[in-house]
Amino acid sequence: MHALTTLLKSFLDSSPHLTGSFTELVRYTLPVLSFLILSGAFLSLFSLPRKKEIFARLVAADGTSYPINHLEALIGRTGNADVVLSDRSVDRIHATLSGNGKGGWTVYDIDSKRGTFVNGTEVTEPFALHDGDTVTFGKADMTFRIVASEEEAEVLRQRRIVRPLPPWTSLLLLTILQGMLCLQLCIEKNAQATYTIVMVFLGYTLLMWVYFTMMRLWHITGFELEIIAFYLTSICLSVTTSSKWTLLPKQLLSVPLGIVLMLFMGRLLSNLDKIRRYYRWIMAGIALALIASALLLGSLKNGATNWIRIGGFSFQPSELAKLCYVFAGSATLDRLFRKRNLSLFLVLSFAMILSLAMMNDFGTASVFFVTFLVISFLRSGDFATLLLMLGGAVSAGAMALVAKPYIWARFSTWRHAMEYSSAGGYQQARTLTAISSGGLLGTGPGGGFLKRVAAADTDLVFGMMCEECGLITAVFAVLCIIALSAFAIRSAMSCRSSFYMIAACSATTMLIFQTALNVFGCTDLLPLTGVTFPFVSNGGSSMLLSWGLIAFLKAADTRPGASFVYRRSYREQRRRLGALADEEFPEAESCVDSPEEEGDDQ
Amino acid sequence: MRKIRSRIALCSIVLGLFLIGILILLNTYRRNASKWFLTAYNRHLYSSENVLLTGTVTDRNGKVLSYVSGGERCYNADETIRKATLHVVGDPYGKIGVSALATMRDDLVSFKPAKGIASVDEAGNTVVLSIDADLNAAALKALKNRNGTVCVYNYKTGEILALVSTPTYDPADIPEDLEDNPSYSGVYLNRFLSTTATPGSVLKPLILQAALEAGLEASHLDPSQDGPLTDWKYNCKGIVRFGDGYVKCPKVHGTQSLGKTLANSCNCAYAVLAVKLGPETVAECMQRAGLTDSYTVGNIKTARSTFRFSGIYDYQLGYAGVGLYHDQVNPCSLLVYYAAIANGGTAAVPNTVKGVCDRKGNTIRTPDVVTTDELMKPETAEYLRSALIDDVCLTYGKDRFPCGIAAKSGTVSQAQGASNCWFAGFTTDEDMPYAFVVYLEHGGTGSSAAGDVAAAVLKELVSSVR
Repeated sequence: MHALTTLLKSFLDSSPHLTGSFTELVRYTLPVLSFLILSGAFLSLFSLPRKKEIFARLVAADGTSYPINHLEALIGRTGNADVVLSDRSVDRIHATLSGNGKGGWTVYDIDSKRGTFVNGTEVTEPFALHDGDTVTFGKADMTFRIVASEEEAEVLRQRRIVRPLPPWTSLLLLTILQGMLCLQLCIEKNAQATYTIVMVFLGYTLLMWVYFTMMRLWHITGFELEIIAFYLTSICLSVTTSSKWTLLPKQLLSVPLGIVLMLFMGRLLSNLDKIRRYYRWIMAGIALALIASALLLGSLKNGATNWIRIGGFSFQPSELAKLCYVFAGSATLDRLFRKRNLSLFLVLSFAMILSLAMMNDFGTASVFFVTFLVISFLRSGDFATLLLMLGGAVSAGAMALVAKPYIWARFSTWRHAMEYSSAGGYQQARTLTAISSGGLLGTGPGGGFLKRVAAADTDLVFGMMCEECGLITAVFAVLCIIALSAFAIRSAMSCRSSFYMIAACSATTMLIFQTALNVFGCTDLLPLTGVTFPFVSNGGSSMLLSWGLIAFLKAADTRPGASFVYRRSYREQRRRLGALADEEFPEAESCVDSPEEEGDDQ
Repeated sequence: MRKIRSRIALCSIVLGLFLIGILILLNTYRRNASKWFLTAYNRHLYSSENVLLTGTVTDRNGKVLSYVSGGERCYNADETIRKATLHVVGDPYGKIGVSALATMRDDLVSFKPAKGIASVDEAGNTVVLSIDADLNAAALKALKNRNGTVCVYNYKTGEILALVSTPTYDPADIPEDLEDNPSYSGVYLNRFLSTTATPGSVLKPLILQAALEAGLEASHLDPSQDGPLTDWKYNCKGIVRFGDGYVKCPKVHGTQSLGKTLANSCNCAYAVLAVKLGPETVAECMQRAGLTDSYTVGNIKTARSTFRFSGIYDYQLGYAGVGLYHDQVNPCSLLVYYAAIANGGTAAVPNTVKGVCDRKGNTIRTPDVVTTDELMKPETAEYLRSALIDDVCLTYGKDRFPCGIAAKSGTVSQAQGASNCWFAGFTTDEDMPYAFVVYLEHGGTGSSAAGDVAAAVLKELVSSVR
């Protein structure tokens, strides 16, 4: 292989006209390929019809049936309740129903005036419900019915009519993209780098194909999120090659690790029962332990002390802590309307943010803070508290500016990078120059100058993307994050549990806020805080976090076969529905991938 | 669940804000891409050695003076032209800070934001300089390896036809001892634009202007005389005393008219005038004459002339009045002053650029003609013009010059070596509205050494114009 790559490099070096034309071809092809790869994924993500799941029903004495579409349902007179009862004896917020996803249901009374009763017994503690139980909210009698098998089967069948994008065309286009990037980078880099570049890109493409093939063998559908992630990771490899090609093997290694982490997280996320009992505590513990380890063992790198070095590897525990934090913070479940449900979360958040501030990593601290605000609001719905906390943060930020002069230095040149291009605005000014140099199509991967500036492939990676791949491709990368976020928000509207909803929204906030800090920081619209662009920035910890966050998005995905959660649930449903399911449902992939059969189903 | 669902709107707001931010970024890019691109640290534009890798410079006749080929900055084939135009064109590495290559990057680069660096090629835009390369070469030859500067410009249009600053060197074959050899001291300075020097007698017309415009009469200077200042007769005894100090002339000029004092360059007469006027009036005149201000030549600010008039003894003011003491004059501002004499009180500000053309040869920019404020009253200009013409006829000899000129010389003795000297003036032919200045360090006397350089340059100019 060495000999082959040497031969390739000598051929490239001996054909300047050919390589020149190839670079031109890459410049024009990159945005076209990006469009083709991503437009399919984007359309597929947003064109899917949604039919709500039904888990159970509350049937009133007059025969009115109230479907329970989520695993947590609020019963009360308020218009925002899942089951809105007009009876005056019912409080605005009266009680909640909570399912474990396996058919087990519990009712909680939320300090209502006239109480909640099951078969005449007052509910003072979480009370288990069974099919046919009479539940009385104030004076309103309702019958609790677990949804009938036929109805469940019909809903499932309706939901499975949706047809996620088959991955093969996108995969082929991604492979072409990676091949072009690889060859172009071989042209730009020296002979020494050629072997590593070729091997890493080959390895990456192979990894991608193996992942998709295995997923399809497991009858999993809906790969849009992964296609977007693989696309962004391809850009990451290009940027890493351009700036520090010797780090390529490490960066490649972080991708399968990230995928494993995503699948592992998916596994954890699929079991609401265990999340409620164990995982949330474990995750909170791991988050604290990671931050504590960084605080105690961290060494200084790029101005912050949140790096831990083991052997030849250095990683940022705070990146993994973000995942655990989202996991633990979102797991409110049954305690949703209890006031004390925020107190432990507040302690966890405060500990994390304070530790990061002590490590001088104010960028990550701000990511945590914004995520904290979103989780708090989603959990409490208290806008006044949100504003209060924001006010507190602004005061704390002002104090930090006084205490840490180097942060103030960043603010003093903020919005004036070009004027302070030799001092505080050095990196941003060069980023802006690089962006304008790239134009719409870029100089071609490997052909930029920003790579020579410190942190070009991490904090300034948006500038590097613009310079080498062009503004169009860089905007596509930003659109990827927007699409992921919009999809998460859309999924969250209809996902089965508040946990998945809050987790997806927090993960989304993290993605958006990180991207915003990165893009606007390096372009001087915001102060430069040294935050990575998800998937694209060079760095193993960042890559792990990015893939890990996708797990929350896939958990909120409501498409059977595509979601981590629904995949499991779908199997369980099939098992429970037994013979009925065998008759009603053909094999998942044939139904999903074949429009004709889909039409027949309808 | 539905209650919480309504709170997702917050995430939509966050996403919306991000989208707005991206739109703001794209709009900022659209508006500022050129500004971001045109920077000294853009490695697509400059090599690692700071060589501008695009753009062509020609003289007014289309003679290519500098261009880029194969990633290298190249120069005209003629060595004398390369050396003569160096300070106007610029060196490859941007060390001559006031040259076209250093200050006209934005004109030299042909940039289109949508295409980025792909829109930039080696040819780039062409900056057409107003200088005539052959005239510059003639000026360099006339300087005969002496340090100094020569400039000739059209005071109607502002176009500089010749601008040479020495010491100079060949930008295509840079001497290895450029930084160490004392003979190259100050080589990166354009002496015409960026330096000042003691003017000596070339400053005398300014004192005469101050006296004329201050309403000074003959009786103010000598109670036995009457009538206007122009009727004043001054008897030079070779020395004039002010308290404990004095000002001397090289010789006794005897009784002379006001006009003749200029032709004789009588130090005593001008010291008497300066002292009579007082420091404030003299300072006001220097300011009005534009000497203490900076002119903008192309994109370059010239050095300001400096004087010290206040808090000094009368004899010191007398010396300041004859261009000595602490007087330091910028050659460019002195040239503009003489041009204003020729042009009735105002003149066009000099410019080294005739225009900027794109790759197809279309002119994309021509500099505006900027005219100075009124530096003197028209009648003052007329009087000075006549006096300077007489000066040439009576003192320098008009046959030395290929055309009619009006001029004044200046000589500043040096403690060591030959004197520094000046020769400033203008042509008097209607069809040749040119003003010139010559300054030589250790060159000899103004009228002969600097005058000869002026004569040689004017000869070349006249032959090219006619």
